[in-house]
Amino acid sequence: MRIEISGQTFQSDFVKKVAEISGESVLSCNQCGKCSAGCPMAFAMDWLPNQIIRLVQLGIEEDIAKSKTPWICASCLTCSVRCPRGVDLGRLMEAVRLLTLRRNIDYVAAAKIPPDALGEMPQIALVGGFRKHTA
Amino acid sequence: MENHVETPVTRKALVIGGGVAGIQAALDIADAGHEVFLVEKSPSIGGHMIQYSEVFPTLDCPQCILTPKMVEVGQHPKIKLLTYSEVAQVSGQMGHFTVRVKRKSPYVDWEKCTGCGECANVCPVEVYSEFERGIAKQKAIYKPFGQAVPAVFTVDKKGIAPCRAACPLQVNAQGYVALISQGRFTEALNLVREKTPFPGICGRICTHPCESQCLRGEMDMPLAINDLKRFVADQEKEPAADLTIASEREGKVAIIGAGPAGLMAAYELRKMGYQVTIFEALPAAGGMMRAGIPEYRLPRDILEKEVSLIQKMGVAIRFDTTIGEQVTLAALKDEFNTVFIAAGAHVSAKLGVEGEDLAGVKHGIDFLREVNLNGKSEVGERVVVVGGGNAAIDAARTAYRLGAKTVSIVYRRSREEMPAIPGEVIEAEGEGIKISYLTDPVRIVGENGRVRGIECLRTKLGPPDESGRRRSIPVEGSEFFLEADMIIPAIGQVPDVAFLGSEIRIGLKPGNRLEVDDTTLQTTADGIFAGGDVVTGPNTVIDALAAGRRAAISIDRYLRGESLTIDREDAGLPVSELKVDMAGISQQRRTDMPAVPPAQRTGNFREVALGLSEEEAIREAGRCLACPGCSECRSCEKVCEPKVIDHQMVERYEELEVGAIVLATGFELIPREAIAEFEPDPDILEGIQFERILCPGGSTAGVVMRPSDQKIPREVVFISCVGSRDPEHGVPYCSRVCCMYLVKMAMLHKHAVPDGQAYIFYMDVRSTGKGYEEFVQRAVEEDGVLYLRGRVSRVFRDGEKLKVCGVDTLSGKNVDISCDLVVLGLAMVSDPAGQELAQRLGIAIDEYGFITEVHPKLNPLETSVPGIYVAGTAQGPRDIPDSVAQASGAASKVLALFSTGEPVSGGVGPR
Amino acid sequence: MDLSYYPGCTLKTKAKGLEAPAVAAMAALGVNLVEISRWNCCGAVYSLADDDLAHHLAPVRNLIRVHEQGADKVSTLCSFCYNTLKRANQLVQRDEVKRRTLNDFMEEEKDYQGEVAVVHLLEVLRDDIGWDNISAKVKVPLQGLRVAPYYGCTLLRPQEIAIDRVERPAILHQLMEAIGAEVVDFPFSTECCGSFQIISNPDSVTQRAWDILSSALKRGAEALVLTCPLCYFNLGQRQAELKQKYIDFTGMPVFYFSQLLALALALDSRVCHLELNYADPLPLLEDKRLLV
Repeated sequence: MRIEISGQTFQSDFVKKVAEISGESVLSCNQCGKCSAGCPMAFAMDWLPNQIIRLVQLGIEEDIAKSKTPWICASCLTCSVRCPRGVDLGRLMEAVRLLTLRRNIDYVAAAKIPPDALGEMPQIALVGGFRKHTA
Repeated sequence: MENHVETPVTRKALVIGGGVAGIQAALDIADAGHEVFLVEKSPSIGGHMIQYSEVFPTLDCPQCILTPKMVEVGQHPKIKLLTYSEVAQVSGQMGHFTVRVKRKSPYVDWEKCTGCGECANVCPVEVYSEFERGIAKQKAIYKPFGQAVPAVFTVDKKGIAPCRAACPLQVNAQGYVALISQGRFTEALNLVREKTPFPGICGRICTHPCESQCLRGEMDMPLAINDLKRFVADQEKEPAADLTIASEREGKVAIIGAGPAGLMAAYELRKMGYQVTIFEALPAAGGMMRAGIPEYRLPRDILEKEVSLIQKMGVAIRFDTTIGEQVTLAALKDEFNTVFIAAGAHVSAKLGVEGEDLAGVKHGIDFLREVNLNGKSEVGERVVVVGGGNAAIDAARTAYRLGAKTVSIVYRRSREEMPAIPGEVIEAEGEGIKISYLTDPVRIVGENGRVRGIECLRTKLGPPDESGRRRSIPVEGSEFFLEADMIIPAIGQVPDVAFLGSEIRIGLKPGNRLEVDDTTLQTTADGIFAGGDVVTGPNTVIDALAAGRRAAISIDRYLRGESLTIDREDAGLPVSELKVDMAGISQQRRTDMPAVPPAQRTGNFREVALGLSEEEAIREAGRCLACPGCSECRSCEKVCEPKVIDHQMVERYEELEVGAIVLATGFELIPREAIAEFEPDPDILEGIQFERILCPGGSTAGVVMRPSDQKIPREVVFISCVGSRDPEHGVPYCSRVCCMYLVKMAMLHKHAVPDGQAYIFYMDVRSTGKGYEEFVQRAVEEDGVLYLRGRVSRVFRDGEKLKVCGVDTLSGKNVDISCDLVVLGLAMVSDPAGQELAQRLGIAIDEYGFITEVHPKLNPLETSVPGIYVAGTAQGPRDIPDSVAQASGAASKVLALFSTGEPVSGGVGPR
Repeated sequence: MDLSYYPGCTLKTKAKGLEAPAVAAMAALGVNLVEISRWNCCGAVYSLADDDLAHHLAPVRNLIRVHEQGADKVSTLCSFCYNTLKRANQLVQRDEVKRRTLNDFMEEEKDYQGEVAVVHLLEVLRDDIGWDNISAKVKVPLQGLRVAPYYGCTLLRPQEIAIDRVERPAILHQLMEAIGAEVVDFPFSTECCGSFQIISNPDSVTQRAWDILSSALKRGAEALVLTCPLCYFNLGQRQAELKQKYIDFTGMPVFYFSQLLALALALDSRVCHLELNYADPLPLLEDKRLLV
């Protein structure tokens, strides 16, 4: 599938909001891919972390919105500490998630998790998981 | 800006840095007829280029193309080569610089060195090789590489090894350890004997201060230096010590006491040619080594063998002669020119508790003396020893051997404060001797005049006392009773000074110790010296030996009527601040001596420690880190035919007058630690290391082997941009040459290992030189080098393989490769020494230490200081052709200055 | 020595095995952990959004509690709490504008300027007590116990809150050496266990657990030692599933560092709550004769 890009696509509101919420400069990324190479959750992602940044750089909102990647990210920050350009990818992923969550769309429903499993989990898992994945 | 000078410029140039840029600049200027000084910090010119295997894109061998230029430099009548030298100071200005150059000491007279290499053949010390970048080692006396110019040898000597400096006798521990590592046991023993005639004794009972200072202890365990000394002593079947006496001299010396201090003084004085007589109260020589130390620690044949050498030299020992009884001190003073008192400390200190005079109480040193001289003594069935020093442990272990059923030790402090040798304590425990710490005897309880037991108190530790050990404080109401039929108080010894008499007054210190001058050991009476335990109280054998030597030096000076204090020969060795890079060294266990099993130790006095085998000794000696480089064993001196090695050579300074300077100080690689996610591993190499492995003239003779196991690496991963283009961890700039040198090495690997596979992780391929892109294409198409577009996040060991976790952003896949070897394309950074020099010269450098040119486009050769020009990688990363072209450019700037005869002003823009 | 201490929710419920032996061990080492009163949940995860201040109120409030209770330093034990409190504290210290907004929002509280230092208990062990002093108090050296230190994420990342080097940290290695264990270094010691993804993507966490455990096994470890209740859960609780999936895998005990420290100090092993461990550690400890 071909996409058309223009000044409008990569200067869209979406791109601006990601930059604003994350406080990161997406243009600093030179796509070396070190974030992806070291990402412990990459095996479960549909787009690699560096590709998510690339999609932001190009302003391709649809693919990002459909991607599982930001929801698989565990905010472990391995990418952030190894990024040669000092881009905190963890913050970018958070911004992408928040753009969905702030529209009151949850990624996970508490009701669907078996109560046994919930009861067993440490509080930090519950509080952390719901804070990252629900509005 | 006008710039007038009165005198014409000095038409001589200084080139700093002997890499390819410096070589080119020097040759160009010299060929134009001007004198050039070429200063290089390492012993040879050649720089990094001569380390490489082949150069891109022509695959020329640098040894073939650079060596002729190096030889030309060496032979050029207009070039004065100053290698192993550093520019210390530059003053003056364009046209008239005065340069102060430090000529480091190579400890070899280069004018006369023939470069034959006999010295390196015999040198036992192996050290890090800068040229081989750690891939192979070099000897401590070395020529950096085969084609080195000048072709001479240099000694790598950074100071005095801490083991040697720590020895009160200055025995060259590093030296003999190195010789042992080479299996050269006789030479090792001879080196020990230069400082002590008692290697077998010292090797057994020395408290080895050397080992406490051993730098190896910082990474695992100190070397077993003492066991190694014992090993070489034991190798000798017939003593072959050099007993030559210098010509006989006037002067008769009386020595009181044939212990370590007395024997050492006798040995030294007799060697100098004096007449020496020792007066010994006991029927045998050795002092505490005989009367105090049990035979299972120091076999008597060893003691006798080494002591008898002293007698063989002509020292008379009068046994069974107690001063004050058979002969008085005053009489000795009359008969002899000087007297050395080394009477030791042989009186047991008393506990001062009730019952100490009961039958069954025997004081430690009295007990030991009886056993050691007569071979036997009565022991009880249940023996309690009081004390925590070596005499206590010796007494307990001796009682065990004489058949006591139970032996225990009570000590009022804890194990940490115990002064006994820790190894001896462990052995004692192994023999079933129970040690009760924090236990203080209150009284000895008797029945019918015989010992029935001992009442003790528990103690706790308070603040440290004046000895630095923590004070023991009794715990109220904690009394308890230990049954025993023999009590051995062994809480210390004091000298017996009754023999001094009253005719000669000698000052005393508390504890019956003789007062002496610390440096000369002279007592308060003129011509009477004293040393050893009689001065210090109970102390180590090694300190007593050192005191004996110190006294001998004083006595010799006294007899010759010289100052006792000025320029003494026994001034300590300087302690050097030495650092060892432990990164590449793996932990290795210290080799322990085998020992007689505890069950076989009762009823006999067989030596417990059995000594190292030859194989063990060589292995243990191999653990030495050779921290100062050269050990000064002086093996090299012995084989050097032109006699050009001078271990005392010092650095010197030279002044040069020049009109212009070319800086070509080169580059270094960014330290690997900057990129910490790559585990330290012997098979993760920096580029230059792999160059050395690929090089046909390298240590592996061109066979490509990986360092960990010498296997041929089939799968090799090359990683670009390590530390470069990485402002967060390294440097932000592009290092320019890595793309090309990595692909070159990938190609060479494929040529050397035809069934191999090379992978290159890259971000962009920057192949901007002539023929470079074609070269890259050839590597891909002909040699199957696989390019993967992305960075690597980490590398770690996975069994025999290394696991590389990277990404190929073109396919959008994370890529893992299990490979045999990883080569890092580390960023070029400015050479730290060059950077420091530029700062000292006031030359502008950028934030990365590279020299800033006057104008980046139009004036790339001039530095901020007029008359000083820059060439090569000192200005920033670049490859060989660019460096050489720039060097010729810098040379032409110098020549322009020389031809006009007057300085031209620098400035921005073209002229 | 008294030391102010923030426990957090998990330690009071699921992670007794982390807290109880830590409190006891610190007492044995001469440090009295004084729990701050009226603490609240720290929020578990630090908000990474630039425009989100609301989520920083909870951790900052806890720091205000510490400050008003007269302490200038608070120790934490839970890795998540450490991360959240430390980062919120740095935000207050470094961003004046956000500090003002936060203080304005919490009208009922006294203004907070970042006066309190946040430390993890491992730092206290290293910097205030010292490995040598710990070694000297060890009564049961964990000789022969081959244990792999696992750090997880939140004590090390981001860089500015790291309690040690970000790459190849050593602090847990050093503690294990100090108490006599045989340390097994393994390449996954700082790799994420999957964290809170246990809620939404439990299968991914199972995969992470296997990567980590199998790597430690391959290097010869008999047990993992870690600091974080969530790592403990993910690497312990998932083992039941892993045992079914990988027939050769027989389980691997996972310890909190505090449990091993307490055992080495010969404290009553009941304080360690070893019965709560997912993979039963008793056979291993008995085999090594480490239970007194």
